[in-house]
Amino acid sequence: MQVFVEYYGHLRRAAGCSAESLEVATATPEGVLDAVCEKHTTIGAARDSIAVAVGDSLVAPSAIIDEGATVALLPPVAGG
Amino acid sequence: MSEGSERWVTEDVLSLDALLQETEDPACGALAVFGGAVRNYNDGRSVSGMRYEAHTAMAARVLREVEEEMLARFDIARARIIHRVGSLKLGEMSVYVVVRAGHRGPAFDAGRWGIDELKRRVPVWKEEFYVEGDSEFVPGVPLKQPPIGDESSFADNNTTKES
Repeated sequence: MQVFVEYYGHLRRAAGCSAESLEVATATPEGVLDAVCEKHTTIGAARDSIAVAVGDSLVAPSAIIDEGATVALLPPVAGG
Repeated sequence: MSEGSERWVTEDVLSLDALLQETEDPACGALAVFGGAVRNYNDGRSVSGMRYEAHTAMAARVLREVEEEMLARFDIARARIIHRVGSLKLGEMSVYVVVRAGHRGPAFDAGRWGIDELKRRVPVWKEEFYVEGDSEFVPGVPLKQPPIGDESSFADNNTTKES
């Protein structure tokens, strides 16, 4: 299934784009991260520090993601 | 920017005067303001500017929640937080936390708590530009993901309770 992945912070630089459509085998945040890390191998090292959001909320690694959903990958935050 | 989010996250130059006017309260004898500005150095390097980006919808929601939690946790009357995004020059303000209270103690405490929570919970990132022409993203704090098995969203669970 396809999802629309948004990259923030240093992940955007690592992915080479701010967003893209990706085919994922498993419709969960873990499945999205699997697909992202397979395509962008440099993101793999940071995987454990990435939070996943759908809409304006974080979602659990096992949450079900809908077909076509926009999934945001959020690296460690540094506001202020 | 999503509709309404600009109350908390904005590309515009921040106006402290507007926040002070918005929070005016004749019952408050104390006003505490924290402001964050772009500094000209970091980690031994000379900084020429900063670019802030946010997950706007989530950042606005979390900032609104932090304001509400400040009002619930501390004996204060007003709390406002606003964060700027985009490219900022040296010395420009990136964030304000404004608190009004009857007395200075809770005003200071709430302001400190508010900016600490912002740094821990709000999805904002900063890319630091150096005088040599290169740039780096400033290392940050990982957001707390909901536990495995929790299939609900995680709108509020990043909150910690004060002891």
